[in-house]
Amino acid sequence: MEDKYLVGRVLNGDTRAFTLIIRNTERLVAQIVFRLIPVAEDRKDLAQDIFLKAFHKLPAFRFQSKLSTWIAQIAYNTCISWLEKKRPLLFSGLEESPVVEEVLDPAYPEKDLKEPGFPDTGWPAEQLIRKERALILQKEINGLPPVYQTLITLFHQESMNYEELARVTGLPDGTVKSYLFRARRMLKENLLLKYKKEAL
Amino acid sequence: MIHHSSDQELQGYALDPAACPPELIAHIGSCETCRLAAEDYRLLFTQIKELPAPAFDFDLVQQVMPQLKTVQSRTAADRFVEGFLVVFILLCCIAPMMVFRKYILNMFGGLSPLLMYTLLGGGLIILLFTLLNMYRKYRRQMQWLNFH
Repeated sequence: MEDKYLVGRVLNGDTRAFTLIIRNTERLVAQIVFRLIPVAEDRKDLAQDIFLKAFHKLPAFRFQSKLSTWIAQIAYNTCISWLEKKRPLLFSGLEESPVVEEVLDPAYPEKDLKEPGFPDTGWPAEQLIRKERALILQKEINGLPPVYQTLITLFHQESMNYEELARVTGLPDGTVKSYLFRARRMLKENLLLKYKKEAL
Repeated sequence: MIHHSSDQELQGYALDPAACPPELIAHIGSCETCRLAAEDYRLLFTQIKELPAPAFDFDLVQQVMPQLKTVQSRTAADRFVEGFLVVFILLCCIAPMMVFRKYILNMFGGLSPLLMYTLLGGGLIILLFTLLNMYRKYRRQMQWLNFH
């Protein structure tokens, strides 16, 4: 309902309504861009490009999915196209910024690692353990193949279902399920192997 | 020999125990190994959900909104230029063909069937190689993205 209202307003010339669309989907787009694009400087251009594309393609949106899913699909495709074009640059970027640095990216503010879902108990030691646990998990997720990272975060953090994930990535439903299964198993095994039970 | 639940079943149980078949629920309830493995998954999923979401370190609205107006005002002009270019290119192609149609017809009319087939065959082979190259490129990109 809200999707139709917002899209209708934008199509009737009220571009300010697009602000709400950006605000509503910014987090989802960030999840995809951060998972697929390792070079921080490129994310800004890509994020703008994604929303500009969404704006121009809006008249073609037929409400066959949620607006957020449609924008996520644009985000995913834009990132994949970018990766195809910038492959050599991407490799050099990866060499310069190892996974550990990614964990400490300003986009993942350290203070946040204790906030959502981590009630402040006032015990510094407990906070430290939780922060460290989140850092370990983030590092392990960053170590997964980009597609696995994207699927796992969209499913578990953004609560997207298999059908929506298939639409976003253009992969068949069965492949999405299979990739998600493998990603979770890989993540669990890596964590148990490296950190034993304490990591979980 | 004890038959433990598969990883797929354990993940399904950790995601939504209510959606699992009663036999699986009963097994996990009675088997310590499977119960602990399912608990590992449940804890992992909870931890992932609780991770902070990444955020852009700039105001996306401020970056995007000014560009929408610029692009919008250009749309009408763009359409005119695009239309003009299409018509111009079509004219450039059609006009010489109209002027030199006699010569063109004579040129192809004088060709032997063998030469015609050779030209067509050559064209098809080039097309085939181009498609094959495109497919190889696609496979390489997919492999690089760890789709396999």
